Amino acid sequence: MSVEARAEVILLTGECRLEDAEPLAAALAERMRPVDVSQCREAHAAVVQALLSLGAEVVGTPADPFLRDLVAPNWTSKPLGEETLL
Amino acid sequence: MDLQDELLQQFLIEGRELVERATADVSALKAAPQDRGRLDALFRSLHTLKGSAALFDLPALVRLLHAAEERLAAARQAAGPPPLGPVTETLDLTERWLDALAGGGPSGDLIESTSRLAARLDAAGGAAADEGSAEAPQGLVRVVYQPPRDAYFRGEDPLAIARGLPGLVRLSVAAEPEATPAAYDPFACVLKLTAWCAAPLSAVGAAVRLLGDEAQVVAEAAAPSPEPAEAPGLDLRTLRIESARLDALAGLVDELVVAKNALLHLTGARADETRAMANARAALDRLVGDLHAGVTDLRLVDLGRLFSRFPRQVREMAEALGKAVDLTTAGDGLKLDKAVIEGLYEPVLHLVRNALDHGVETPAAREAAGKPARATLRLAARAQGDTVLVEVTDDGRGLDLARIRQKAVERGLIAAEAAAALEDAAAAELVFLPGFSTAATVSDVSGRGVGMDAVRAAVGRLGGRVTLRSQPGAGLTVSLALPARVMLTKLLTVVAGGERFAAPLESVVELHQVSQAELTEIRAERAYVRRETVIPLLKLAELLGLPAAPEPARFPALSVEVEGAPVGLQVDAVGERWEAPMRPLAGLLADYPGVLGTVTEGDGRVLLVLDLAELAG
Repeated sequence: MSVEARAEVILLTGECRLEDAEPLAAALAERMRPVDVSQCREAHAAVVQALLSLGAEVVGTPADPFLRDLVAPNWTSKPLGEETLL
Repeated sequence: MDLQDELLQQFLIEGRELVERATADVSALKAAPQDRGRLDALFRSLHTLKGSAALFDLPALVRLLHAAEERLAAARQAAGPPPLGPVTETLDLTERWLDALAGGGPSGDLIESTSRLAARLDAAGGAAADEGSAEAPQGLVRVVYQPPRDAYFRGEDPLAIARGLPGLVRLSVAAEPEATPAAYDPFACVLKLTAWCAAPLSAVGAAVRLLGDEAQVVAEAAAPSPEPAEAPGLDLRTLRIESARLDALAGLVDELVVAKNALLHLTGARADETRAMANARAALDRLVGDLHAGVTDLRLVDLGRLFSRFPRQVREMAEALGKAVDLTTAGDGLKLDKAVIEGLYEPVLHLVRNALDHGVETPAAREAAGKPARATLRLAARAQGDTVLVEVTDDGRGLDLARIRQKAVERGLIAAEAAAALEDAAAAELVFLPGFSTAATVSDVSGRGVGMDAVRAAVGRLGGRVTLRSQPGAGLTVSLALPARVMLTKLLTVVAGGERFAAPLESVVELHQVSQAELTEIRAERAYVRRETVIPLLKLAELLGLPAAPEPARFPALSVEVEGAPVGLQVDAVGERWEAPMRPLAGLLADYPGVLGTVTEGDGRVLLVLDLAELAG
């Protein structure tokens, strides 16, 4: 199970694939909560897109160098409300 | 019209605009090759052209535009001189495609030329890319990758593709924001990825080759910089309006001016006009004037629209004639009324043909005369008060006045003694006589049976004049002085042969009251004297073919200038001065001699506006 919607946080764990984008979006649509990516090893573009498009607050640092160094700056360095809302 | 047709029509319009714009950018880059903004603009135009052409089944054209774009991109990243020659050829061919698409479709010849040029560009591009990667291995390569909306459905993971790029050092991931999470479609790809790679251009290019148009690869000299400004996708500051609708609006405003004149005439004539009525009358007068000016402004078009039609023509003509000619343009930004721009094409084209055919010498002859082998043809426009001067200048041999005199005599246009007695300036004017042509043989380029008289007539219909300035051995300048905008024409009503006419006030130099007693007969013609000048007198009614009226003891005469000398025109009476928008004659009457157009009087009557100088000439 890659997307785990808890009361205060949504956990992304392991390899998050295309099919995980839907439950992630549904969970965020139900109620906006921070998304914890510290356990995420890999993420499909659709999952990253859901985080960015819906402006989710992302917490935690993934271990994977690609996610940590190249993908993560896109959500931490660009807080919601600025570039994404233009 | 089905959708595809509609799209094609749109492409034909936009395509021409893009070619025009790109041609202007190429001209600017010739003068300033380092102008980054122009280079970017040129790149965008080519890119948009390619994108639009791809909507239709035009593989040859798309391939050519793609190749040209690649070459330009390579020059842009290497900061080298842009390949303007091949780009110009590409634009020429694109224009021919647009012509072909508007007509019967592309010919086999056109398709072949297109493929040949594309192949040449590709070959040159390969060589340039190799050099580039050898010289600048340190620069970063930027990849802009916009996957299609259905990428996820196709089983693609754009992020994994980005991850696989060689030497990836930075990645920007942007997604379209979704304001209502409930409406979010998790399976529609709305990502735009920008990646920077520390790897050779060729390696990065190979990695994204399969992505085709979805990814664009550009090498950057420096470290990742903020993304360059994108071309504005939808520019709402400007609006495309069918010119017919604008013309209809202009026609309505013209009629409003007439209606206003009628109303003003009525109220102004009333003895019991109150101050309030007078104020309202003045306000209406001013508002209608402003409205007319505003609508007239809408019809103004850049002269660049006219000039941009010539680079290709000049190249083709020069090639056909075996001459080397550079075309320069100036004053593209000046604006003229749409009708004037349209009406100018034919006469300017004729002048350009004349210049290339008769004015410009062959490269050998030019060198023999101590001139550069390549001739320069200049199309320039500048504003001068209310007029715009459009000049066609060549640095060829100038007018051969001896030859012009001889021709005019041979054609029986003038007697030999008269020709010899003419001053040079007057001899040059002989080329404007109907039936005059200096070319010994009719050539493909200018021998179309149109002479300078047609140019003068065409420009005259636009309310302009043509003058010549020749420097023997050094070139010829033909100046067209045109009204900057179609304005309310100041008119004078005259009565001749019992009929009412209008004449442009500016064409009347003076108004004379002449009595029979002061008339003198000179060789069966009548004349009178004003300020020690003998003024020949003609009857306007006679010139118009109207029945002669009994001669009054005193009558008014309009003094007009014909070839620098005054001529008096006898009329029955002179009426009021007023102003109105003049409509040029259309259809069968368009070339009717001696008539400039029509105006509608306040009471709805239509008057002919006479060209007094032409009638008296």
